[in-house]
Amino acid sequence: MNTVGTVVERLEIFPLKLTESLALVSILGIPKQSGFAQVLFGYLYRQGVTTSFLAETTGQGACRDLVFAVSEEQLEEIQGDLESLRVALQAETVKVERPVALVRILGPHFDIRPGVAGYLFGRMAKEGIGALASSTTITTTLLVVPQAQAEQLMRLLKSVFVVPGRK
Amino acid sequence: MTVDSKMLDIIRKIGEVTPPPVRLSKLFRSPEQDFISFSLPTADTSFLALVFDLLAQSSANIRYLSQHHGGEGDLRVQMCVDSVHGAVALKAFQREEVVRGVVDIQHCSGVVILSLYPFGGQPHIAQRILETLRAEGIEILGAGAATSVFSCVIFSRNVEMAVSKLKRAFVLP
Repeated sequence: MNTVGTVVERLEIFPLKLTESLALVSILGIPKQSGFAQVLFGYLYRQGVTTSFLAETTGQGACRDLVFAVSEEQLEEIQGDLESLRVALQAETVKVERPVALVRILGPHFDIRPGVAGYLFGRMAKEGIGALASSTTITTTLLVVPQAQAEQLMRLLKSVFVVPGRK
Repeated sequence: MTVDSKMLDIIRKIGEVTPPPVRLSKLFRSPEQDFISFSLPTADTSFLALVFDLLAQSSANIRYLSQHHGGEGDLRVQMCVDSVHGAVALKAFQREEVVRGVVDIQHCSGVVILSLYPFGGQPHIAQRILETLRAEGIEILGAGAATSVFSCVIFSRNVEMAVSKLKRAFVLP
């Protein structure tokens, strides 16, 4: 893809995957030295919770943030423990946003095509679609948006990429 | 149940867990990357568009990108670009119109992305990866997961140690 200036080629991708009725849990301001992985992931594992989105990032100062998405049903099962988890993790804040939707964009070859992520996020920003969270790694991009914006995002993605069945 | 007693209950339950051996199919190491993180005081999508436009114009290959909202309405962004594009990507952040709106810019060169397959949203896999690396004192600059892959960003000087320890922590081909 040549993205110098303007995009001249629409990339073919695999079918988009939309998952709705999710909750995005943000645990912000976890001290870097805390052994949060055992506490949090051990708890989720014990509860049988799988995450459809997960990102751990450097927060502000000496802290980290951890953001993950679970189904709203699974949130009901863990919501009562979130404050206790916040205390155990010594985190500053726990925030829950719902309902949210998750869109998966699967390559091919995003990892070797300069400018794809930049172009995609630029288009989203121009359309006023604000991702609550996103994670791009290798050939896959996951976007978490308010569920109310899911349809708008799907329309945009189908104009940005060549999706199977739509030319 | 009070917060304290619930916390003890959670910790007790965690102690009961003995995760089974985990078989993974692939461990992939990226080419050398530059890591850039920054914040926007507000989730201003038009400003973010400007930043990404500039990066696209420089043909910077964003191989890893993670963004989320902070606690005070700010937007926190982390990315890795191929080292060969690191200098031009950084120039985008030095432009006057960008400097005005971006705060907390941090840049590290000499990092790599380690990606492990398959992930499948399983928390015990994330736990084992992060604990394995941190047990060796390996700093993790960021980690993110897609459906089938879990990736983490570490300094390239730690790669050999990280790969060696991960190969012991998981069953890999």
